[in-house]
This record gives sequence, structure tokens and C-alpha cells, in this order.
Amino acid sequence: MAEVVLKNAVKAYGTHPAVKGINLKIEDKSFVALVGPSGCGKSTTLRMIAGLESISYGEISIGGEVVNDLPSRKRGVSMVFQSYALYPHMTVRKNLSFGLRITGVAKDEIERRVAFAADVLELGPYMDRKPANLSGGQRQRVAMGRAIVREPKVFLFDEPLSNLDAKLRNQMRVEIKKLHQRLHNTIVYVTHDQVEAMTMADVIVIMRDGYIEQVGAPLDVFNRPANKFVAGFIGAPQMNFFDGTVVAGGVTINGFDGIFPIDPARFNLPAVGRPVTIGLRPEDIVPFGHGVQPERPVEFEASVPLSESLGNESILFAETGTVSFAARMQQPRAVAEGEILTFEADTGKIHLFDQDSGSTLRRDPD
Amino acid sequence: MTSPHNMPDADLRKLDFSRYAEQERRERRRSMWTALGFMSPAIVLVSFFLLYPVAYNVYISFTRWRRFTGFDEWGGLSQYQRLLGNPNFSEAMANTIIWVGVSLVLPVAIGLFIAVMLRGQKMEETAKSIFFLPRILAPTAAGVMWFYVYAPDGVLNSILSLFAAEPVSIGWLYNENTITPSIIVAYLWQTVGLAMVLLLLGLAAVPKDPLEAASVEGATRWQIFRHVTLPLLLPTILVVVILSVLAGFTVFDHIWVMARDFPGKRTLSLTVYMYVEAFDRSSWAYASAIAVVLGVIVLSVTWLQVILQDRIDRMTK
Repeated sequence: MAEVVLKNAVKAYGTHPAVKGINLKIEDKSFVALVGPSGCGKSTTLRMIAGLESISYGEISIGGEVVNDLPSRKRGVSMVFQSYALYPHMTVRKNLSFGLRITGVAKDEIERRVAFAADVLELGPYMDRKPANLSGGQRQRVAMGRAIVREPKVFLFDEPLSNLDAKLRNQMRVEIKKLHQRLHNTIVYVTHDQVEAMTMADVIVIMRDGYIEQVGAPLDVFNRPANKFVAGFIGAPQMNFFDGTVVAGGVTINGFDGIFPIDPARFNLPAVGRPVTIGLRPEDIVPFGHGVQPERPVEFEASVPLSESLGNESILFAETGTVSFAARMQQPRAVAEGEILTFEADTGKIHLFDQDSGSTLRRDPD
Repeated sequence: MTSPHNMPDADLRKLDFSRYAEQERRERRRSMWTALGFMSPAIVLVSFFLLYPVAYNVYISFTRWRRFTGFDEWGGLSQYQRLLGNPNFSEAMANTIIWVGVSLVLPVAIGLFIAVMLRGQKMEETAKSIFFLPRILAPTAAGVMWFYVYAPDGVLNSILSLFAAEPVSIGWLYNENTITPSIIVAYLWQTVGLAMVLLLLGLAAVPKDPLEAASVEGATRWQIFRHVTLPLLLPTILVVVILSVLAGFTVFDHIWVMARDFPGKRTLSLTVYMYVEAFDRSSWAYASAIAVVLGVIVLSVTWLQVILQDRIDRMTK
């Protein structure tokens, strides 16, 4: 059993709270990603679990044991650092075995575990090299190997892929996921990259400014964001937000004359005439004839002053009147600068947020 | 590659690459001359004030030169033979070896201890300044100060008298058994600060992540220090050791000032011995031979340092 529980965990630096009393239960054997912009407190939270930062207030327990006053080395966790934090003066083999040697693990046991890690991570050919003679990807593997050999209750990853190039990052993403499927440890994974969080984790914890904004399964968080921040943070390109107004039978975007019908069973609509924030993901605004036809479309024309073509799709930055938005063009074709296209917005996929608090107006359960 | 975007391979093969290599060599030679031009003032100064005197010193050591007679004849190795046969030289050498041995161990050991204790403490900056403060005194000034500390009616004996039943009046600087240790204490008081500051800088340059990794991996504070910090600090430690050993070879001012009333002062170190032979006894050639011996030793140590530095670099990278 290695569930990690945070109760009202606070981290203050001087009088400035970096983590503002978060409550989180990380289930045994789950893969949880802490994600958020820099300075949101995700790394601090991880370091509190690791024992590298003291806990100012509240309680953290690992496997049922409160660890607030337990030094790092007694918490049974392994950590992979963004910088890899390898020992520069030791060979790969010694890097892998260091933690076991100093804690007095038997020699043949050390050899067995190091061999296992070397095998899993394909480190065999590099065992006698020093970190300086390894590529970024290889160092990353050594850092992971060092975490594996200790057979920890909990793996902590602190942005482990940020220093790799895009191709290697995708590759390692898959490897870490495979590793989790094979070893079944609890993993807490910090990243600022929402794609990493979405693709790897069972549960995503979105943080901002020391608070937890939402906890949920990736698709859940994507489809039912709790507030405007989460809606904007998860998904790329990010969701379009429009200032809107409630009208009879639906909402309208200010400066735009279409009405988006809203099912009052799904949303707590404010009174007619009240302002509201409307969210639509780029993939839910479809250029006519390019992609899946929405079931309940609102049709309109807009000019496209700028487009980014990615090969398999294009992102169109379009505007109509004073309203500008991004749309995703599947089955793309070249779009001329300023070309006018017909778009269909999918009213079934609309998100509504309170204009002041940013909270979703969606009724729960959906 | 045959495509309209690349030069045909056949054309590429026809190019005379040796011509481009020659071009490059010529450019490199030209920039070397430019560099030499900029360095020439320094080269002239170093030659005139360093290389020439050193060479001249070596030349003198092979003569019988004295102050008033001037150069009279070629002496060959006679000065060196005198050196080897002279018990004063052996004694001065032995004392210098003591100084070097002390400089090898104590500054770095004491400096490291203080640095590790201070590191990350609230009073690190203040304490650092306090420990470094003696360094800004001129060695002679410090020597004069300590001379009075050690005087028979000085501060040290007064303090000792407080603990003893009767007044203490030990002649710290008048006894051959206490004089060198006494000067060494004064010397360390003045030199440990620099070692400490350098080691604090070295500690600050040790990356934090491996230390944290080690603590997560189960290492105690001592194990982290012993297995991670210390190896990563080795380059700094080596610099500190080399600096203090070289200083140990050439220590002069402290001894000269503090031992001014000690009859056996002449042999307290090679530098003092050399000074006395040259300026008190006017044995220029003999003193030059001492200087050459000292120079050779110092050069050997420097050479050793280069080798060690290289090895440590390879170890930590």
C-alpha cells in the first residue's frame, strides 16, 4: 500500500505561501500528474512529498504513515530530477548502485537490481561511462534507473522530460508509461506540459497559484473543466473564450449576431441580459467541409488572416467583426491570406463560465 | 545526391580542397601574429622583470660573486657543493619542509571545517568577513602584532597566568622548540581566511541536485558530504592546497618579523636563510644557489599540481 495523502498541506517561504493548504489523495499504484504553469506550487508539492521541503502546516502521509518529520531517506520514495541530478564523478554503474551501497544492501542483491534496471532501460553498453559522456536521453535513463533500483513505494518525477528534444520526449513518454504498467508503483509526476499530463496520467491535478483547481481523469478534465483556467490550460491550441450575454433560449457572443441555443438542463443559466463567458475549443469550430459535421451547428462566415499548417491539420486564426478565434481545419488545404470561409460552431460542445468567478456553469452530473 | 538543390557530386570532387586548407592556415597564422602584437608589451615586461632576473640569478649561482669583490671567477657547481655540505642549509630545508607539511594540511582542513560549519547559516556573510579580516593586514604588521602577543610579558602569557598559580613568562619566540609552532599559529590566523573563502565558493558551486538526490536515496548528511560533496569539491581543495603549499615554501615576512630576536633565526626557513646570506653576509652566489634550489622545488610542485588537476578533472567530469 503506497497511497499518498495530503491534508491541508501548506508550504510557506517566509510569509509567502507557495502551496495554500491542498487536499489530495493519490491512490496506490496510480499515475498522478501535477500540472500547472510555473510558480503554481506543483514542484513544491512534490518536494514536500519527497522531504526536500519542510511542511509548514498540514500533514502528508505515505502508505498510511505520517511523514512530516521523517527525513527524506526514510520515506521510501525515489525521485527523478529535471536536471537528472546524476553524480558526475561516478560511472553509470556506481550512480545506479549508490543508494543501495550506502544503505547496506547485500552485494549480490545490488548486482541483481542494477542488472534489472540496466536491462529494462537498455543501459548495458554505458555502464562504465560517466554522465558527462552520455547524451541527454541516456542520462535521463540513468536517472530513472537510479529510481528503479531502490524499488520504492512511490516514484516522484520532477519535469523529467523538459530537457529532452521533442522526439526523445515523445519516446520517453511512452517508456515511462510502459514502466508504470510493468512495475505498478505509485507515480507522482510533475510537468508544465499538459500534453504529458494528458497522455501519461490516470489522474490529472491542475494547480494554479498554490491551489488545486481540479482533479480528474484526463478526458474528464478535458471535457468538463471546472473553470475557465482549467479550460484554457488543458488542450492545445487553447480554448477560445468570448464575452457573451444570456438571451432568450441561449447565449450570444458580443459583437456577433448568431444565437447559441442552450439546454437549461445542462447549464445554470443566469438571467437574460446577464454577461457570461463562452468557451469553444478550436476543434469545435469546423471550417465547412473540413472535418466532422457538428450535430447542432451555428453557421457563420469569417475571414482567415493567418493560418498555421501542421501537415495533418491546420490551425486557422479567423475573425468576424470584432470577434477573433482559432479553429482547427482537418483534411487541410492551403488557405489564402484573408480568405473568407464558412465555419460551423458545435453548440453541443459549448462551455459556459461565470464571468466574475470563472467557474463553470455546467450542472453536475452532466 | 542528385537533385537540382545540390551541386553535382562530380563538380564537388573537382574542387581543390588543399587550396582551402592552405587559405585557412594562412588566416590562422595572420591572427597569431596579431595576437602576439597585442601581447608584446606584456612579453617585454615579463622578459625584462622576470625572465631576465631569473636567468641572471641562475648564472650568478655558478660564480663566486660577492658584493664588494663583484664577479671574479666562474665557480661551476661549487656553490651547490657548499650548500649540500652545510648543516645550516639542511636545517633551513628541514624547517621549510615543516612549513610545507603544515601548509599542506592545516589551512585546507581548518578552512574546510569552518566553511562547512558556516555554509547556509544565517551569519555566513558576517562570519566570512570576520575570518577573512586578518588577511587584509600586511604580513609584517600581523607579525609585529603577534610578536607582542608572544612577548614574555605579552597577552598570551598574561592569559596563561590567569590559569596558573604563578606568573607565566614563557619566551615563545626565544626558544627553538616553541618558535616555529608559535609563528605557524600566527601565520594560520592570517591565511586560513582565504582558504575558507575559496572553499565556501567551491561549496556554492557544487550542484544542489545531486545532494538532494542522495538524500532521497537514503544517504545521511555525513554520507552525502563524504560521497558527493567532497569528491565534487576536490578541484577547489586542490587549488587551496597548492596555493598554501607554495605560500609555505616562500613564507618569509612572518618569520622575519617575529623571530627578530631569535639567535637561530637564520635557519628558520630557506627564504630567511637565502635573505641572510644575500643581504647580511653578501654571499650573492651562494644565496643565488639557494634561490635556484627553492625555485626548482616550487616548479616541481607546480608540475605535480598540473598532473593532479588533470586527473581530478577527469574524475569529476
